[in-house]
Amino acid sequence: MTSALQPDADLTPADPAPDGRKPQNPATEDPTAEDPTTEDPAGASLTAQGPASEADLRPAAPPSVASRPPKAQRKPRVQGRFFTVPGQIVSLVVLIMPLLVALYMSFTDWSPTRSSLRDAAFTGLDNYKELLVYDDRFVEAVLRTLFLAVTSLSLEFVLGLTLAVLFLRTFRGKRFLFSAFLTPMMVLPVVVGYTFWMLFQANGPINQILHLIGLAGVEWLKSSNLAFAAVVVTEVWHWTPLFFLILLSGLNSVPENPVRAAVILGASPRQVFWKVVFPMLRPVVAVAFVVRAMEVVKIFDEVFLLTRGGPGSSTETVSLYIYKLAFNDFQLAYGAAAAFLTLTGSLIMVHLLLTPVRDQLMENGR
Amino acid sequence: MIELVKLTKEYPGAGVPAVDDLSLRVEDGETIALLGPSGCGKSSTLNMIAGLERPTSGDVRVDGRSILDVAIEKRGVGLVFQDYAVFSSMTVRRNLAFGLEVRHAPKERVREAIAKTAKLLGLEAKLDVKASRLGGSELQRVAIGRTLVAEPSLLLLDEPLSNLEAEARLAMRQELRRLRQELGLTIVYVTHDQVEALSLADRVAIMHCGRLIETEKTSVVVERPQTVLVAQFLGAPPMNVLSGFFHEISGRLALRQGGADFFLPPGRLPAEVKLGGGRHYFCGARPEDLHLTSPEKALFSGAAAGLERRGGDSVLDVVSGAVELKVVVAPSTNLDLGSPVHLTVDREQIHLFDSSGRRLPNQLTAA
Repeated sequence: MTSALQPDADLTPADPAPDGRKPQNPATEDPTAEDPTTEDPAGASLTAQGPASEADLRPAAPPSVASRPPKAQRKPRVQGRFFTVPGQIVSLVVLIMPLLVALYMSFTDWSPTRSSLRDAAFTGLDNYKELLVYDDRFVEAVLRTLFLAVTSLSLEFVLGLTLAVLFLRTFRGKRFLFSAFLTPMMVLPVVVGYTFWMLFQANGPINQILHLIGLAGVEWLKSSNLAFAAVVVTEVWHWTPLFFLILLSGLNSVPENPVRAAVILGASPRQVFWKVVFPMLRPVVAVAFVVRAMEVVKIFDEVFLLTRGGPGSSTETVSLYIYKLAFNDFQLAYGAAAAFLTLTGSLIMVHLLLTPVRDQLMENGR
Repeated sequence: MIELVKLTKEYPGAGVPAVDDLSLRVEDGETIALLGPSGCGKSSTLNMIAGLERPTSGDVRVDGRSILDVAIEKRGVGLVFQDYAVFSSMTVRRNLAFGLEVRHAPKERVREAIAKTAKLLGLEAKLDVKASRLGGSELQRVAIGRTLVAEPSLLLLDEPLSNLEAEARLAMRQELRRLRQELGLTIVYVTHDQVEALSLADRVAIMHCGRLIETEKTSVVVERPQTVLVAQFLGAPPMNVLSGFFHEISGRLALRQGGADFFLPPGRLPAEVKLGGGRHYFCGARPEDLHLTSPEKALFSGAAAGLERRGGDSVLDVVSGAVELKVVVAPSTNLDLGSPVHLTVDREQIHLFDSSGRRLPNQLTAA
């Protein structure tokens, strides 16, 4: 315990070998490096040195790592890959193959009532041209779906944000109302569609209430504008909770201090919200819009149960039209082309929606 | 002049008040540092001055008038947060303009104020950069500038330097000193870093568990701490404080703690100090004031128990029984663990406190 060692002796275990050879691998060349207990027998000895001596400046040897047997390493990796094979086969069979087949199909004039896909004539981009140039019903369905998306998402956003802001305060029954407001989101679309179909019947509850307060009831699902409104109402009722939930969690994660700073600088509550809080919320808003927009493009069950796209085609959305093409008219090739166009369109839409907030979403830290 | 009068803040369910009966006067143009460990109520005090929190009892007065019912934005108080709280989606220019724009100040005035503040803080080149792209010390300057644009009569700084790296901290400290001189602002500064407090403030108010334990001129607080708590808080390492009773061993005065004796340098204890067991006192000596010496001259002897090298000097632990003293020694000191160490200290460097921890009015004098 009396020998005065360098204070950093425990950091420089690998002294050069006595014969001056430069140790290649401290783990094998210097047996003492393996065993930490032999490094500093007088580990507690104290020496305060003036300028760091040469020994102090020597870089510490890297911690000893047993050289890895390459085979033992490789084997689990092969095994691991082997175990993913079933999953890969499944995804190949049920996802990738059908996708490729459908893509091929969309370039043919195949119909299951006529021949097999192999015998179908290859028509190139004819289906796509037909859809974009001549098929007014498809273009209308696309525009209608977009209009449905814009109206219902705007309403859902406004209502969801209002609710979320209200839920930042404390009030009686907050817990109960929180659960209650989230419930619609958890109801199956089919159930929602059927329920609202009943509500909007000519002799349904909505008209009955209108009668009670002295108003004449209307044929909700028989007039094109009202039927569209019914779809919007159903959609808004069903999915406002999602906006509410996403925006509430966004609001709760807004840091407190910028808000306090704005208050001290004299901003009114309105200014604080729109100038300070909302900009921080933008990525969250964008994500909510993307999630919902993708859903609205695919909207099917509710519209199918409410109106079947009617009256006429006044509430026919893209997916409803594609469904009719494929399973009513058996124009599977044409339907596949429509589906691929829709997919491309929604990819572009998502990209555009995310563009303004991509930086904010991607940047890490502040 | 800002006056805190018996300021108390209790949070529901906390049991102990976060700020307890705090009274403090800050003169115009003065910089005062609220110094204390985290959770001692410093920030709560600041929030109450700013108006972000309402005191449970007590009053905040500006020039004698209570401002408790004055709206936050009319208090003329600027607050700079530890995390800067800069509006990250805005440019530096919009950040600086915020305080004036929300009050609908004329555009010309906003432009002038931005130009002036940007110049003062060296932000001219960064005016059109988004705040989210700035580094720590730039954000700090934006945060200060944003506050200064609104021309507060009182500037509150909440740990303004603790998120900065060492180098930036040093530069910012200098910058704050310059600002203080140029603008003549009244500043209340919250920090847990004593170096920061001592280097920036005119006076230091030391807080502990929500209470103000000492307010003293910066130059005095280290030299003559008025309480044991302060003595044990200031300095790195802080003062060695022994507690026990004084007695005489063959004509020499000693303080006995847990069976070990610490001899005092030759001198006379103040008249009010009584010798013998049952009389409890505190006796302190700074690690810088203790010196290594020969066994014959030693006032205290123990064994070396640890040595921490700090670059410019080293801190040696000396242990004897239940007594452990820290001594600042020269970096070349060479000692083995367990080897005997002999210490001495000058009479003037002994600090005596009574049993309640208050500094005795009279200290050790020449015999």
